[in-house]
Amino acid sequence: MKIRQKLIIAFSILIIIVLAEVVLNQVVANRAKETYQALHDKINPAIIVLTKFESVNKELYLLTTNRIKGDSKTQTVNRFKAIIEVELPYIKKELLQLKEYPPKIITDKSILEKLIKDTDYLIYLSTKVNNLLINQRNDEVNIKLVKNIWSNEMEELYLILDRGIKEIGLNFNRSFKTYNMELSDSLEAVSKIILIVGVIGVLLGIVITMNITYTISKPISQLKKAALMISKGRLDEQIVIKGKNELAELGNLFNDMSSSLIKSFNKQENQINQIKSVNKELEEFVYVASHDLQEPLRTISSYIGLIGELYQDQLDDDALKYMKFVEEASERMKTLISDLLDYSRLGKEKVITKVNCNTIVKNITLDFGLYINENNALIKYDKLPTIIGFELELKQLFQNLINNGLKFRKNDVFPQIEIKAIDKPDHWLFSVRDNGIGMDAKYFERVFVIFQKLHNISEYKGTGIGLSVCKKIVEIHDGKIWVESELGKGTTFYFTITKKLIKTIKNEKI
Amino acid sequence: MNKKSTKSIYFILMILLLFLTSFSSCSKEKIKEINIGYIGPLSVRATDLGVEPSNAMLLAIEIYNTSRSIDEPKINLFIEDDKWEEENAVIAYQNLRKKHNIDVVFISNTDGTIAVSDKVLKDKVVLVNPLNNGELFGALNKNTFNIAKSTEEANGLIAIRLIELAHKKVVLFQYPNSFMAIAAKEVKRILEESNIEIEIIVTEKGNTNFKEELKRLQKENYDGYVFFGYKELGFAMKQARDMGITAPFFGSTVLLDPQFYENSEGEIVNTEFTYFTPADGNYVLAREFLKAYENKFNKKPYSVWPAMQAYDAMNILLSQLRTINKSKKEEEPFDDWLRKALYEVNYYQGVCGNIAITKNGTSKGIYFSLYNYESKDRPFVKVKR
Repeated sequence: MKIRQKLIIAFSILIIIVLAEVVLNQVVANRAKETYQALHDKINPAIIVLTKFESVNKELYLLTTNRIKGDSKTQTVNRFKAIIEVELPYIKKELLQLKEYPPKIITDKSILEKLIKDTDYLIYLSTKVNNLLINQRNDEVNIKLVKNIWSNEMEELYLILDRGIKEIGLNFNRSFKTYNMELSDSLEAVSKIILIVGVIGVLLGIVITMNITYTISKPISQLKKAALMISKGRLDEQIVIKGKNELAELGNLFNDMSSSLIKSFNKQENQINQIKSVNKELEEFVYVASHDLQEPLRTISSYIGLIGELYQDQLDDDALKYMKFVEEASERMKTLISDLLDYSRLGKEKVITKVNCNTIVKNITLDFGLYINENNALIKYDKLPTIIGFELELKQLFQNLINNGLKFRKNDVFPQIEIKAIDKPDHWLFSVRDNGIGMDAKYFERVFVIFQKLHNISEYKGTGIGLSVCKKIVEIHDGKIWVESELGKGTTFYFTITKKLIKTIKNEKI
Repeated sequence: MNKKSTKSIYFILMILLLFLTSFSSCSKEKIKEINIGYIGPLSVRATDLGVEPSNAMLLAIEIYNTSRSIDEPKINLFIEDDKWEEENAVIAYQNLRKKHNIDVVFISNTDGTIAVSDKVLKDKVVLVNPLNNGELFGALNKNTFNIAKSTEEANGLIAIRLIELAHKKVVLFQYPNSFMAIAAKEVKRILEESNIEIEIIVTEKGNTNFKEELKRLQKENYDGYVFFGYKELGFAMKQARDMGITAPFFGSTVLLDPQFYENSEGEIVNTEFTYFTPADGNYVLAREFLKAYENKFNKKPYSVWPAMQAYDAMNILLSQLRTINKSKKEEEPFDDWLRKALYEVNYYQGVCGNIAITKNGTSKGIYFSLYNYESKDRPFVKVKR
């Protein structure tokens, strides 16, 4: 199964669990809410009303007896009226509402109905008594009538009401306890649901997390290890990821990539070996050719010299002139062959040592001492590093570049050469700057090609091999060489020398 | 599992989320403000029935507005002076409707209440009289409520007292307005039931000379003098005593107007009258109210019962308006809703006592007592019987 689908299903399961908890909680909480509302809105107010009724009933009993005994104080009369006009009607209305309560709250409605009826009757009798007593306090007939009402009906009615209130009160107290227990049970149930579903959710979450983690992290770890092995050269590294998910597909693609890399590497290695072989043959050819060419050239030179000496008198001026041309051409060819031989020998005798660049440049300066003095030239260098490399080749490199700077001077300007080195993390960056004639940017590549000259031999002597030698020396030091220049504004040659030459050479040997 | 089944899972998850969010519900537009008007005598006559009740109502509204929740509407009170005249009450009502579009109006004056009641019904405004109540008001239209003492009951106490003191021939001076007429009629009814002779003299508005009537009454040996009127009757008291009439004086609920004392030049002392103090209502709540009143207005109400009654009437109304955004249906007219809500008030614990509103818009639960005007500094002392 795909990881995406696994994740969707996992989250769906968790959401369903949360939803189940929400629904269950809603159901139980609603039940608890209903129970609480029954307690808060029905049972508790009913108990309060009954308690008030009990108190009002007793108060009215006392007020009535007092009034019958002649208490006509406004305070007594007003309180009596307040009870029969406001409080008892209010209580009666509240009792009528109790009738609407479900049987679970009020079990015997007949008691309640009787209580309401008696309350109504009490209001009626009390109003009658009040009307009889309010104006006619000295009216004996009214007093007698009131006393009759009292002894025949009212006194007993108060006791009946008191009993009824107590009976209904007991009913509501029982309901209060029952609903309280229900509320407590509901709250406990909510708590249990939260706990159980919470535990299930947590366990399921752990299982899902572990499964997904295992599904994702293990293949990633395998891929990481395999990539590391490949980076170390183990191109044949293959991994096995079970399943049909995206990572398994990635694993297969990784294996394909590894196989392709091996094929490509093998092909490249073969090509490199072929190139090396051709290079070697070419170098040998150059060496042999230049070495073998020297012999017939020497013979030509010797015989030209001999002809010149032996037949000087027999040759006319033209013949002598042509002979001289041949001699000069032989000399040039000799130089060319010698340079070519030197070029082919570069790096052949590899001896890596610590090379103090200051010493090298200092010695070169001494070698060019006469030229420097005659031409007021200046070679500046300061704190050049000691590097690891091939001493002879490095000397030749600096020599060629300094020579270049002195040679391609401006006619009316004293030559100045400045050599600097900058420490970079993995190499040294050298620069050799002169104040010479400079060159056009289009020649920046051409100057490093063997036997390529930008000027006529009559202007500047040389075979045109110097900078190609420099390039080869820099390359055997695992570096690069390039030039920056502007016509008439001098030239700067930059080259780098690696700090890891030993390692590079070791790797090459491997 | 293909893309189609993945989409199905997304769809099911969306449905589940919608199900979860369906627990919330939409709400209707809430009523944010309700304007109430008050029309009472702020000048000319019976100012204790206008200024102090308006202050008490302002206090009730201030307490409500500062303690209301976000779902409860803000209440604004706009006050107009009717100078205790019914024609002014009508103009004041029209101003309040026009300027402030009031939904509820409080009126102190009985005649003003009657004059405005039809207009109120037409405008679907609810009218509350916070000072007077009684049989007359019960006959007014369905939008008129009276959350106050019963005029008949309060003034009937004077008749009961006259019977108790065994008076035989009583005269009653009555100011020409509905309230005093109802009060006088009730006294007459009770006295006549006990075969006590009573003469009602309806005075003229602004009349300060009662010597002619007093001379006749003195000759005819009236043994009890009842003054159901306002400050002008102070002159009658003074003139009676000056003529040597020694019979006891009795008064109505409005005797504490300081001008009454001034006009009687102190002869008002020892007059028995019906009145209402914190001791007659819920003493604890009443004291709290009077303290709050004093803190806000830097003085005590001179006559406490108008302020107490107005405070209760306004608080009863506020107790219902507070629930408007929960209990009123959107399409239900405001006056229908408020009327039903007020009918549900059957036990309100106010500063005047436990108040119930009956189905004809009158109220029960405020009961006046009999007091004696002992002195200017101690104008009400309960009569011991």
